[in-house]
This record gives sequence, structure tokens and C-alpha cells, in this order.
Amino acid sequence: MKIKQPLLSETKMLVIFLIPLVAVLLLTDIIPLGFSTYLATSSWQLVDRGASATWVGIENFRKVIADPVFRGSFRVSFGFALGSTLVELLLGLLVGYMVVGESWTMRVVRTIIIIPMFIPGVVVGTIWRMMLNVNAGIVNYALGLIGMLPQTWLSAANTALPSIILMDVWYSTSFVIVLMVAGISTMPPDPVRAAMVDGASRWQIFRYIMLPMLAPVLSVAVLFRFIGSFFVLDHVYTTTYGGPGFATNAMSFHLYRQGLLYFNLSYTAAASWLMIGFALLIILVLNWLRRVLEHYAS
Amino acid sequence: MNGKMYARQLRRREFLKVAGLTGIGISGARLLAACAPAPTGEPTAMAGTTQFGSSLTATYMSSGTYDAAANDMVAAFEAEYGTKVTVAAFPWMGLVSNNAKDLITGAGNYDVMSGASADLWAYLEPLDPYIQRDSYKQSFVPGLLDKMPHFQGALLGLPYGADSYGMAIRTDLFKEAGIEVPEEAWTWDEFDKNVADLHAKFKDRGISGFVLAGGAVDQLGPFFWGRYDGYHWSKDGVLKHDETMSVAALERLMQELQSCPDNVLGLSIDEANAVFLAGNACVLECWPSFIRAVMDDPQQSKIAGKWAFMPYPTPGFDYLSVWPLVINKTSKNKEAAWEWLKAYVNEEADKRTFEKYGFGLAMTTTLEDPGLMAKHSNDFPATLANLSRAKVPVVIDEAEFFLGQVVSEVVNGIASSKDGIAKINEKWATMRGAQPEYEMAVAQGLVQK
Repeated sequence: MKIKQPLLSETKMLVIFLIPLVAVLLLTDIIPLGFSTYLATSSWQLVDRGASATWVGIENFRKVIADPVFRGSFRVSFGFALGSTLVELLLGLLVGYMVVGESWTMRVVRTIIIIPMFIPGVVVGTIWRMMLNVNAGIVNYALGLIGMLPQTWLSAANTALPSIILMDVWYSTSFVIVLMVAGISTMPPDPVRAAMVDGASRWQIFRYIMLPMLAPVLSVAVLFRFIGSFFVLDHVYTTTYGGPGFATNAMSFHLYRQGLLYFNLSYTAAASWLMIGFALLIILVLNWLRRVLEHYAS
Repeated sequence: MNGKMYARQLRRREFLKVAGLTGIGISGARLLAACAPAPTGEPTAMAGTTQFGSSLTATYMSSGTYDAAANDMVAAFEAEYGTKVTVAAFPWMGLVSNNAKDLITGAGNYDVMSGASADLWAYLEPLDPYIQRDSYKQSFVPGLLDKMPHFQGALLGLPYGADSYGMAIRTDLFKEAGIEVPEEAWTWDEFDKNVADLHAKFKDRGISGFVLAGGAVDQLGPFFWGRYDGYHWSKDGVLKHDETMSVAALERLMQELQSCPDNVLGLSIDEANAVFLAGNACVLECWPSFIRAVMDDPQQSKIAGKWAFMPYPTPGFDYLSVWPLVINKTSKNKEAAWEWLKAYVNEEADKRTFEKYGFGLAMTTTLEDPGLMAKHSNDFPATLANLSRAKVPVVIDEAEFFLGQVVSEVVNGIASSKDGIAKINEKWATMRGAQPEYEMAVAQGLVQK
């Protein structure tokens, strides 16, 4: 039988099939990032249609870093991310430990617990804005029933950011719970059984056996939650709009206003690259931590 | 290798090869089609309407009022001019963003727009030639046209939906306290004394002397400016406030907050209005158009028949909010756009929209209409006085919002008045001001002498 040789080699076929993917990556990632770099190193007044951009090097980055509003928004975002991640981690671990199990009851409880994950962030913000309303909110109503004075949760400087952190905890802890349940469920049972045989208490088992084995899962949870919280926008937009003053003026919100309302594109591009740089730094640190903890756990 | 298997593999390879090449071909063709220049817009002439294009798009804020009034006009306009009209309504942020994008890119999707920031006034069609050609003349509130966008001296927009900050008062409580309802504007000193007296007299009954939207960051700038009688631009052409007068304005505002409910710094515009409608405040600083329609509705108000508007105190900057209806310079249907402007902004439409939707008041014919005056005798005289002296802001949006944020810091005790004003001036010095706004500032006497 005569065998017909293929027109193209397998390597060339592979290249041809990869072209659409590379084209999509170019269009959706490489080119926009490249243009963003161009914007970040140029001075371009978008409102001057037809005006060409002037290359200014790192001048935009210098302006951004020197801007006290940007520095303040970094502090707000960092504080929000730190506060919400810590609380979500502790609460997620505790609740995850309590709801692990294959009984019908636990499955129902877990299903109910993860419902907040499926609500859009804007809806969550709107619901909580109504709940925390100073005159008609259910939270102040409940406080009134126990004789406490109503609080201006979202409009007082000392309660606005904690209120948004509380909202994020309600919204995002279920993600941590899911990770913890998965981590606990897949732990090998032998070390725990051995510890029980040796007479270790539940706390000792948790502290010295389960927690180290969960450390890699915890580091993944910290990574996702910290980065996700750091880039918060919808909670701020729907509740405090950055106020009172600059108390909840998170970085994403600040850059949204700069870029999309005021068209300060060069500033926004430079600030965005700084945000990406910081996020990459966090990822590198947490990845290193995860490897250390995995080594320790093994 | 089994011959049959190899043959099957060959067929599969052939199929994959053909499918892959076909897919690439289709994708390439679509990409080329997408890169092709868009077809140029009409106008295609309609019988009897050779000067108008076949379609017109007008943008409005989605509110159930401005856009609804526009939709009311569509059928009659289409019948008269043969131009298909699309009313594109967006929430405020979306409207600002979409209008700006269309002007900056020159896309020309919108022929008529509601508003545009001062940065973009160069992209708007001057209206003076149309006004002169058609002898378009309406009884606008005195000074209102001067406060519309101008670029290099040319008028760019026609006003609709005029409103300025007002003071709603409880006439019954004023009478009980022995305070005469003023026909002329009080000074701010008189205002402060009277609200303090009202607060002292009625606070035990759960009624505050004064209320405003202290929790609305974007309104704190107007509240501050209402009490500030200084310049907004320095003589060097930089955005700046007089420090001494600014500190005095902030201190006055904070003093007035003592006569407000305890939770005043948490109140939005609607919540502050609700406090007044519930009968729990003697004076409300508000946008009259937001509250006027319900004040005499017993279902929504406990103060029906017991309120009035008084002239806004002086000296200071009564904040004017008015929508300019403008024509996009890249519109391909400018004649149709101009006809739409005339149809939407005229004396008859102003009265109609006020009666049906509660907005308008850009024309003195509405404010002096005998029938409406009889119904709104507790409102119109003060409203006309306020609209006549009100001013439009002359700083870019970024500067105004920053001002509101800093004022919020000051009233919340995060920063002192002096530090707050220093922060504002320091930040404003780094911001570019818009040349048209500087010209507006000169026209309104808001430049340092």
C-alpha cells in the first residue's frame, strides 16, 4: 500500500494551531500591557484629540509616588487587605474545621455557608449599605433594641473602613471555608489517629498536627484573599464612595476616578504598574512562604 | 503498525488539517472585515427634508424625568422632520463617561448631548449662528445663558432643568419662634443666629434647627462654596482659594452642624430630605427639584402646607446646577440636532416639563406664570431670586471632588480647617485648569483681583 506523506509536518501543524491562541494573547494581554507601558512613560492629554504624547520616562511614576492621595489610598488598600484577610483566615479555619464531614447536615450547612460567594459584589455592597443605614438600617435597629445609640457606620472616620472589612468578611469567608474543608478532608488520617492513640487532646492534635499540614492550603487562601482584597473596588463604590474624607479611598477606586472620570491616563497607567509590582511582590513572598511551609509540613 | 489504524490516522490528520486551515481562513476574513473602514454616515435625503439626516441620537440622564420628557417628543419630531430619533439614557456616571468618550474619539455616535465637561467644550458646535439665523429667543432666567458652556466667546449649549441650592423652611415653626419668613436674603450671620435659636427652642421636641446632606461627599463642596465669598482662581491663573475666607467658611459650616441632628454627617441627600419631610427639622439646605414634588403630598410628607423656600443666604456662591443641551461637532445631522434643541428647550416645553415631571425653571415665563405662581407662591419668588444669582462651578471635576473629600475630613474632625485649606490649595496647584472655566470664572467674578 502506498502511504501518502502529510503535507505539513506535525511541528508545523502545531504552530498553525497555536497561532490563534498567540493572536488572542497578543490582542488581550501583550498589546494592552505594552500600550499601558507607553502611557505610563508618556505625557498625553486625552482630551486634546490629535495631540501626540511626549515621552517623559519615569516622571509619571515619580508623580504618582509623590502624590499624598495615592500614598493614602495605598495605606487604605493595604489596611483593608490585611484586616479582612486575617479575619477571614481565622474565621474560615474555625468554621471549616467545624463543618467538615460527610453527613447530610454538614453538606446542607456548607451549601448555605457558601451562598454569599455567588452574590455579585455590587449587590453585596448595596445590601450592606441598607443594613448599615444610620436611620433605617437593621443593624442600628437591633442596637436600639438593646439600648444602644445608633451609629454612623459608613460615615464616621473610625467605623467606615471596619464596616467595609466586615462586609468583605461576610462575603469572602466562604471561599476560605471551602479551601479549609478541602484541605482537612484530604489530610491523611494516620497522623491524627496516631496522636489520638498517644493521648493528645483535640487542641494538641489541631495545633501540632492538623495546622502544620494545612499550612500550604492556608498560604494559598492568604494569597488569594490578600490580592483580592487589595484590589477592592465594588464594596467602596457602593457604600462609602471613598469617604468620609479619604478614609475608604482605596487604590482601585482612586484609579477608577483618575482614569475613567478625569481621563488622567498617564497617571493611571503608571499607578497601575506600581500596583502590579506590589501585587507581584506579595505573590513572590507568599509563594516562598508556601514552599517553606510545604517543606515543613512534609 | 496496523494498516487500518494508519489509514484512520491519515484520515483524521487530513480532517484536522482541513479544519484548521478552514478555521484560520474564516478568522482571517473576519479580522480583515473588522479592520475595514466603517461606512460613512448619511445623511440620506428624505422627501421634503433634504437638509436633515435620517437619524438622530440624543443623550440624557436616566431619571424618569429628563429622558421621559425627551421620549414624549419623539413621535411628533419624527413626524415633522422625518428623522428617526433615539433617546439614549444613562445613569449620571455613564452619561458623563459616554459623552466624553464620544467627543474625544470623534466617533459621532451622539448628535445631541446633555452636558460635557469644560475640557471638551472645543468639540461642541457653536450655537450662535443657528440662534441668529432662526432668531431663536426665549425668556431665559436672567444670566442663565451666560453660565452655559462657552468656547472662545461662542455659546455652546441651551439650558434645561435649572436648579440651585435652596433653603426650605418650616413656616409654622418660624411663626412659633417669632421669626419672620424673609423675602430678601439673610446674611450668613443672620442665618446662623436664627437656626441656632430654632434649634434651642425645638430640640427637646426632636426637631433640629437645621439639616443638610452632611454624608454626601460630593455635596460638601457646594455647601462650602455657599459660605465662601472669595476667589476660585488666583491672579496667576491657578486654581486656589483665599485661605482666611476659606477657613471662616469651614468654621461657619461646622458651627451650623451643631444645630443639626446628631447623625447629620451620615445623611445622604434623600435622607436629609426625609428628615425635613418627617417634620424633624426647621430648615433644610437642599436641591429644590429633589423635594418640591412631594412636599405637599400627605402620603410622603408631614409638612404639607407648612413650608416655603427662602432666598439663599449671602454672601457666597449659590451653586447652580443646569443641564446644557449641546451639539456634537462631529454630528452628521447638525440641522436635525438644532431642531431637537429648539423643540426641547423653549418656554412651552419648560412649563410642560415642570408640570409633568417637576423639572424646568430655566424660563421666567414658567416662574412668573400666574397659574403656577398661585400654586407655588411659597416657592417661586425665592427660586427665581436664587437662580438669578447662582453661579456655576469653575473648577474641573477632579478639583471639586477633592474639595469635597477634604471638607469631609474637616467636618469629621480628621483635619483642622487650616490644614484642610492648605491641603486643597496644595493639590489644586498641581491640577490643570480648563481655559473655558477660567473664562467663566472671569465672567462670574471668581478670579482674584
